[in-house]
Amino acid sequence: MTDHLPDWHLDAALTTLREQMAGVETPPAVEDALLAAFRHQHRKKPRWTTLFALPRRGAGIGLAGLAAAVLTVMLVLSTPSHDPLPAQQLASADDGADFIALDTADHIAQEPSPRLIETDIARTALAALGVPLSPENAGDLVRAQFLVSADGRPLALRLLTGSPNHPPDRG
Amino acid sequence: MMTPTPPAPANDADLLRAMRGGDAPAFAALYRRHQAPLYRFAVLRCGSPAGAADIVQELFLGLLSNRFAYDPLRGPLLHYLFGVARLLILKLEASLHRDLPLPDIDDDDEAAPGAAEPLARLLSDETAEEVRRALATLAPGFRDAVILYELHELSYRDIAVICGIEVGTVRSRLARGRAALARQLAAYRSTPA
Repeated sequence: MTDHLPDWHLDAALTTLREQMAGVETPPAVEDALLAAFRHQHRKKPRWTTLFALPRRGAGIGLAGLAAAVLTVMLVLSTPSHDPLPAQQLASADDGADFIALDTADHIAQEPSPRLIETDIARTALAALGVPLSPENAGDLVRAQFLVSADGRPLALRLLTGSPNHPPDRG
Repeated sequence: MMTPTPPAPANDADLLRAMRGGDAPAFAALYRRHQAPLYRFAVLRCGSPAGAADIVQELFLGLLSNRFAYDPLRGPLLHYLFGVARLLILKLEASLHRDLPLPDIDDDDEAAPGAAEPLARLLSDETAEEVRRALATLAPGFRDAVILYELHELSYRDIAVICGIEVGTVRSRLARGRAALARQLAAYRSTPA
């Protein structure tokens, strides 16, 4: 009895395996999952997501500062003093200024029913986002627009020009 | 009247470029072109159809996210993906066999470390299944060489590039892998049913 298969016999066995494997393919579910991932990666982003910018580097904000700003904004928005903009005013409210993101780009893009709310907010509440603060303007209110989720979570904000107490343009 | 020549199928580099530009059919074409040989390699290499499907998915997700930096100047995309698949499987095996000593490829033993788990049946042909089970008993380096040479009919040079080894090492592992396979298959046939 031999302790190994002769070469020709091994070759024949390997050929059989190769022929049998020729019909084996990846399960169709893998292609479905990959195409879904591709569509997700290349989906068209809603127009308003191009309006915001992440806080600039070097502003010294950091995650803790951003979290504090978000918390402050949420507290402000929880009071009934803000004015949700009617739908037809949303487009005209877009004066091209960048939004500052208060959440990740993915969360903002996935929000199904964002709302734009305009309100006055204490300048001190926005200091963590890099809004200039001085002893002279520390008590000021700033007019801002907030993009909020359906459940009232702030997603992004931008300061409006012509806000009350906003320094006049020297140009 | 001359029959118009059909356009040549897009090459991998063109499909990759189109895919990165958001062309879904290009991505689908690239996947359909290469999924089968990659899956077959992974199934024979790791022994599990489910594990092989995960490997193929991870390969193409990596292409999609640009995690894998493929350079067309270094060889065909399929060979590059064989190499990545091999590394993904090695990483998976290392995590599964954390408590076992790492296989030293220079050892004399062509057998895989640890007891080989029984494989779920994949093929209807008894001989093919026997060879598949025997392959699973080989150490990873020998298994790679045998699968890429015997099943995918690649050259020594291509296998050397894919596995990151010298051509001489490919030759040696192939010879020893085949010998180990032959012994294992003879053992199966001499075992009473």
